[in-house]
Amino acid sequence: MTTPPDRFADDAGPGAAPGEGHEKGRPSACEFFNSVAAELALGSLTGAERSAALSHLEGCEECSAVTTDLSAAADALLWAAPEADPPAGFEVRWLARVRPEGAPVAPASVPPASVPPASVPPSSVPPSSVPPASVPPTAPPGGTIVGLRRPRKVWFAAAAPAIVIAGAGVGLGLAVAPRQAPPQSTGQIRLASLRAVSSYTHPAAAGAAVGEVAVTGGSPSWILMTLEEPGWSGTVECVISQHGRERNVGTFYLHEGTGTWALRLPSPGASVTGAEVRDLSGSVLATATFASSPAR
Amino acid sequence: MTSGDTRSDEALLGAMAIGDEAAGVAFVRRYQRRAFGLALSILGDPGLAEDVAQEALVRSWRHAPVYDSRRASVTTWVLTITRNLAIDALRMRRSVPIDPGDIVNLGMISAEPDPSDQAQRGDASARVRRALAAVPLEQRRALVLSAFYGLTAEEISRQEAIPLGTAKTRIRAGLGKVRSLLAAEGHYEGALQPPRGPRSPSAPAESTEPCPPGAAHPSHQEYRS
Repeated sequence: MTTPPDRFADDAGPGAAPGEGHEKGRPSACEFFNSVAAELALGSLTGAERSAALSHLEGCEECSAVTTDLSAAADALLWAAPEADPPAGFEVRWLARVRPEGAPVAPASVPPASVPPASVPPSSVPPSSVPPASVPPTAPPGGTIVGLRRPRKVWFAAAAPAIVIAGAGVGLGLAVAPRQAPPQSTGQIRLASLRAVSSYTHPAAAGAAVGEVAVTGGSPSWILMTLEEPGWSGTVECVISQHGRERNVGTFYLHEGTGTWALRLPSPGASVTGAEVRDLSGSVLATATFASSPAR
Repeated sequence: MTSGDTRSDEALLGAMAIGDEAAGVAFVRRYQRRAFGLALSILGDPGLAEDVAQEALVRSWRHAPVYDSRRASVTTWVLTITRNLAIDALRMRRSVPIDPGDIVNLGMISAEPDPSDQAQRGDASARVRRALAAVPLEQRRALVLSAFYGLTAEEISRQEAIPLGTAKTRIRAGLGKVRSLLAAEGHYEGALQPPRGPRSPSAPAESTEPCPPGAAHPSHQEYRS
């Protein structure tokens, strides 16, 4: 049987299953891989095809080499974009965003911005047009800069009980009307950072914080999970560690690494020692470990 | 525009990781034109492009401690972050149809280095533009839609009104040709980009993917000035 290299050119659909052997009419695993290797390298392969390709890649050195070459080419493509001068003041605005709260805006230790003359008009789109985080176009009055991460955490901690309740009532479709929770039901809220593991996509490298998870004590107990760094898209599982055992407590959808999810736990949250986000193949994307004592 | 700071990209990132603001500013000066240019190419909106470039460089600052030079060059790292943020922004306003024409037909296919690029970086960019220009138009469109706009083969088939298999073939053939042309031009010999594994869907792969140990990092050659 002769198989042209581009045998999937016009007949392969998304459901074209990767074969593991050379059965008549079915591609070999390497043939299948070659048909999708470019999409894998470009990051546009999804779903079952991606899972099958990655699975094949683990055990095939030849296809790994092909992927390495194609990935280098895919990366190189971004170099083709022409450079362009950003609007004047770009670096000052950047500095304002990364400075800790309370620090002066004008950098004393850094010379004035050497941004070249602006070749494009100033920003005409509100900062909120960027989904991951808003960008203050100028420093707030008084030169105080509000950092990005700290307010998020403050918001997270303050809003956790309300979001858990609202999330359970609305997001999960439970017949629970949002209402003020009694103090004992949310009195012990423990927070932990979700840390990326190697299978979580970048820019968060392994160990980087990609989100947060909160578990409440009392009865009922809730878990709230939010991820906010660019990364994986698809359905993921939330697995908690409790009493020395792992338990899958539900699934939710991550879009480009971003998603928020809440669930009422079937057992008291005080005994939860950790939580993980896994893809449907069981690969751990992010993990969090709770301190033994409640934060509050 | 150069900042006059002669430290390598890695050295800057190392200093940024411990909160060295001056290093951060030097890094921004080094990469702001690249990040903004890429965002502008994808979005076509200077205001939105600035927001995206800002966010990309803020994230570079925040993630400097976990940057791994074995997995990708700093340039690739920054550009991939920028690209993904631009794609996110694009999806937020998807009411505007994607037209890759600007990237496909304009500056990208110039065989000449951008005079504003720094010398070595400009050479590398020109090589990639030449390679892209040599790819047949329909393959180039599919490649650009995938690489810059994050579209899957299925989305490309819908957008281009072509069978899914044809979209896949165009992507595969286009990237294969770029790879061959860049290899023929010795693009990889200077280790502009350390090898890495596959990229995750619409997400950067700059530091999560494996790379042969000891892969040379090019940044100190590229950007010392």
